[in-house]
Amino acid sequence: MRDGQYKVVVNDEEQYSIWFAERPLPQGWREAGFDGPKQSCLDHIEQIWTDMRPRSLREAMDH
Amino acid sequence: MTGTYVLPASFAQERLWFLARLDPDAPAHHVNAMIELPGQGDPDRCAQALRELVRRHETLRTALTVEDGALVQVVHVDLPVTLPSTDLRHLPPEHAEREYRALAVAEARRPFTLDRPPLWRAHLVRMPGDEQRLVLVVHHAVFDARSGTNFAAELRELHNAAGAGRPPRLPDLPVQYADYAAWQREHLAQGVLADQLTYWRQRLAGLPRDAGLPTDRPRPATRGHDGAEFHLALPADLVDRLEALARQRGATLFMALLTGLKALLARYSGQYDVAVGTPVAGRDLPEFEPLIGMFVNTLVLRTDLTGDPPFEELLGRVRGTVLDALDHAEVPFDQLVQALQPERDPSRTPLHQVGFNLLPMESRGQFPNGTAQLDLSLDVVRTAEGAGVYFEYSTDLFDEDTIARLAGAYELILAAAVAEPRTRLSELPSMAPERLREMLTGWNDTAAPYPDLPLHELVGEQAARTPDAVAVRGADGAELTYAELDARARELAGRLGVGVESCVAVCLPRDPGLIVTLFAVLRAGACYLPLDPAYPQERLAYLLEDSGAALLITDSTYRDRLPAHRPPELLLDQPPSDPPPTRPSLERPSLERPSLERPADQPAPASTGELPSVGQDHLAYLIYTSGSTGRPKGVQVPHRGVVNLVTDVIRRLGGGDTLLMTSLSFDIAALEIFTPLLSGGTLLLAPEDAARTPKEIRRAAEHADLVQLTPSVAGLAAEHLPAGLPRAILGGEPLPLDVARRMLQVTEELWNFYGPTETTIWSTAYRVPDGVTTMLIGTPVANTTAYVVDRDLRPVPVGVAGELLLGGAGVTRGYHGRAGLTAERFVPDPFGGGGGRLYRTGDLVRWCADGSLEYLERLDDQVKVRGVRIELDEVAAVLREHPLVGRAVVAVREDAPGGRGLVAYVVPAQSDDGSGDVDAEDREAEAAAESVREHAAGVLRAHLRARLPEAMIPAAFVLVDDFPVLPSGKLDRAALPPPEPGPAAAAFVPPRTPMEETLAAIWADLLGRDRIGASDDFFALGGHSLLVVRLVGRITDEFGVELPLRRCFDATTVEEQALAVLEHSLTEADLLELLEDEL
Repeated sequence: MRDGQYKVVVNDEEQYSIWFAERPLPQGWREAGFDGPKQSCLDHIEQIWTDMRPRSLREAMDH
Repeated sequence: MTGTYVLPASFAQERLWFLARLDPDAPAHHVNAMIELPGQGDPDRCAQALRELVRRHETLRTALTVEDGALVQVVHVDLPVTLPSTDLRHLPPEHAEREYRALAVAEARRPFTLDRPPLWRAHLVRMPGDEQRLVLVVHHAVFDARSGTNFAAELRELHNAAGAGRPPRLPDLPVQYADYAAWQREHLAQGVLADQLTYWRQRLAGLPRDAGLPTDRPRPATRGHDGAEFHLALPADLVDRLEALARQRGATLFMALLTGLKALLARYSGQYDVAVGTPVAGRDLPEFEPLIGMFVNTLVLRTDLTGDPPFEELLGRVRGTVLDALDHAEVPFDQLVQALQPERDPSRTPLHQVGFNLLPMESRGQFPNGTAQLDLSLDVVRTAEGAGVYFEYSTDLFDEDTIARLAGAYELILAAAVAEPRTRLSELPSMAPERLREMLTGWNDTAAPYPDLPLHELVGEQAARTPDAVAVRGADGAELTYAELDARARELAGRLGVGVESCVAVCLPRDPGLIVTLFAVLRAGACYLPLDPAYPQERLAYLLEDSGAALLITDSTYRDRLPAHRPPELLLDQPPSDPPPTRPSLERPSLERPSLERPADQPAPASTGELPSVGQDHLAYLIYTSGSTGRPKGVQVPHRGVVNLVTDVIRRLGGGDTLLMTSLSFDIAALEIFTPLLSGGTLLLAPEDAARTPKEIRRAAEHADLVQLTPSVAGLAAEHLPAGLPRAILGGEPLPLDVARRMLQVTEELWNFYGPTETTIWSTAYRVPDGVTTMLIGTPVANTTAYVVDRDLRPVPVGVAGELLLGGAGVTRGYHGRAGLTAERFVPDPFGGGGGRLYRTGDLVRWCADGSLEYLERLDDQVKVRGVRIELDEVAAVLREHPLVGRAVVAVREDAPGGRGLVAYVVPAQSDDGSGDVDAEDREAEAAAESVREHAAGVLRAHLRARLPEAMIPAAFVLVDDFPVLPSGKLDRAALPPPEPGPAAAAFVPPRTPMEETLAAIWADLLGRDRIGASDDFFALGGHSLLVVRLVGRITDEFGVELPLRRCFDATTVEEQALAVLEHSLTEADLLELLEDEL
């Protein structure tokens, strides 16, 4: 993936990733409300994605 | 010589004469044509017309020869003309056509001798149905495409005029070709050449060495001329619209067709600096128009395609390229080559490997003669039906299927461009929709059922089915049944006291207790972190800290090798009744209370039962791999991927008794453990050093149904494996063909597996066939998807190199504690839908036409050396921590001492600000630097040994003043100097005994050195563990002594090894005798 503008995206399992800012989102992903250069997006994810367990596992374990 | 006169040759003739000298018999530079004539009248009329043509045009009476060191044209005043003819009128039309074609190709391929005129030949063929065809074959040195048109027109006119009994109407010829040659030299000498060369020097600076087109076969060291032709018909509608699009933008059809070709080349090569050669007529004065001769020059049309421009913008750029080039069209191509690329590369044509031409005629005279002048060239002719595109390609490089796909993509790109000229380069289609669909879904149709249980539950089920079957057999023969394994694992799990999703570090010898421990960890809902006790303490400390391991399970023999800072530990060889393990380290009292010293408010876990419920998305293990930031990263692997893969392996290869030989810190060891235990077989534990000792491998593998090896180990061990080994899996690094062939001799079923740790052990599988000629990595394993994409994550066509993305059940959770890195490498799946993620492997691969994958190379600096995955930057980063080191890079080189391996390049740290005066201080600094140079390698090696695993220690250290860089400012890896063979000569001590001499000779051979001294160190000279294995084998051959492998790690010099050999060759009785003598 080349450098350029990206957006932070998240899926139903609350796993985060990045996607090309100007392209439509792949099915099953939504915008997480942050965009910018690649490294900024990755730095943002480093901050907000603190529990890497998939959501379904997290919920199963918390119950 | 009578009847001849001598004139200077033209530049083009010089070039063609040179090319002909390079390949004397290759017909690649023959121009040919078929000229149809009316069938009436006798063949003599044609011969008569030919004689008149030869009389009119000097070139048809010219030969080329060297006089006084210069190439000259020797023009014969008179040359007899004969016209052989063949009559095929009596044959059925189809038969006649076949005969004709064979005859034409034979004529076209027969070589010319350039100093013997004429440099042409003709053959008249009379065809059924009153047709006459003149086959004309001419050497390019005296002929070009326009000459062909002139020749045919004159021949017909002469023929027709003779038939009608009238004088022929032919153009006057005020000058001849030799006049052109003289004019050209004079014209260029008047400053034109110098001016235009200046332009081209600037225009073609930094031109890529190769067009980068993906080839079906490796490029031969010397390029051949064998070629073939593929024809593509473009419909009239498409060509008309393309011409209209061009005209709207002030461009020509030539430019639009060339733009399509350049877009195609960029999409297929991934190179956005595209050069294509094109011929220009070169008949710059009207007097040259009617002549026959070689006027054509080649222009290099180079265009920058970066920035993902829309097609219409690309067309504008190509228009600029073409117009500028035409303004500087007079520099003869050879002069350009001399000025820009004087050193010859015999494997490829200079400056450009792809050609393009739009012929100014309706039909193409040239018929294929089985040659190709370039890697690929396109001739386009405009026809009533649209356009014919002739793809002439080198058959050394390409298969017809590949060119057919390329041609199909060319048409798709042109069609997309006329449909929407604003389509961006990256969005132009490179394959037909049905091909794309097949690639995305058909080749990824891998759905297959697998059980929905975690690993330990599956083994528990097996224990219920076959409680008394042997589950594990140790190297010493100790056995555990399934029932025992399961019960012991449950019992131990109850004692661990760790929470679900916590991490337990395991550092144990390879015995049944290890296997019990792994299952206990899984039963407890935790994941295991394997620790290799051979790792340096610093690395182990890092793994323990980074993983946040809650518990360390080890035994009393290994614990002393482990770092002082460590989590609470459980010693497996202490009976459970002992007091709970205590914290080993007092240095860090802040460390969290060990969970085994349980606070009173928490209930002590029951010894059995009440184990947590674990699902497939819980982690099974944490494996660290080399990280480019200088620190390894932990891959979090859930149960799901392992269950899925092992189920698939059992389905493909059957399960059965499987050898565990791989170190647990290598993720593929999990396959060796779980494949037998999920199929009711026995897990056979190999002795610790088996992978390094061929004899041990044979003993360990004797009863195995399945073994898994890295190609490096297989290369060493193939002949030592038990014959008739049922099945073998190779993987972990590219599998060389010769190793595969040798393995096929010993095993009935050989598989080449591929996959990164991040997608769980293996992701693609290839059954290696007998007589394998191309090594593939095969197709995706069950419930796995594979995509090959460009840097925009768009699929690339078959044959085109792209990054491999992997999705499906094997995709792991990510990197422990590294959310940003995880997000970068695990990206949204744009193909499969459903919110899945794809792992970007960083591996460059390509699809074969049948849907299997071929591995090509890494996209980044990650390398595999003897099966171990290494980030070069990690080694460099650790090197830079040393105060002596200013800057450091690490490269993989074939010429490293001891064969392919790592070489470190170091720019020493600067202590001054670099003033240029030579004074005492400088001399002192110089002396200090000299001393650093002498000792640096040893110091740096020791520094790395303390921090990195053995496989990551470079074989050589090279001190340099600076690193070579590319024009872009990036490191020019190719220009790094080769490592110097050997330390300073001052240290050389010649071998003193015959035994030392023999040993030194063995070393010299293994290490690729001229001489070896008695005190030289095997490892300092580039020796590595696999070479030690060979060393031991050679010692056995020479001295009949079986030296234990470990001995060679202690005795590292020639003199020490000589002593070791001596020791082992003496029996105890001998020793006693010796001792007595001493007394």
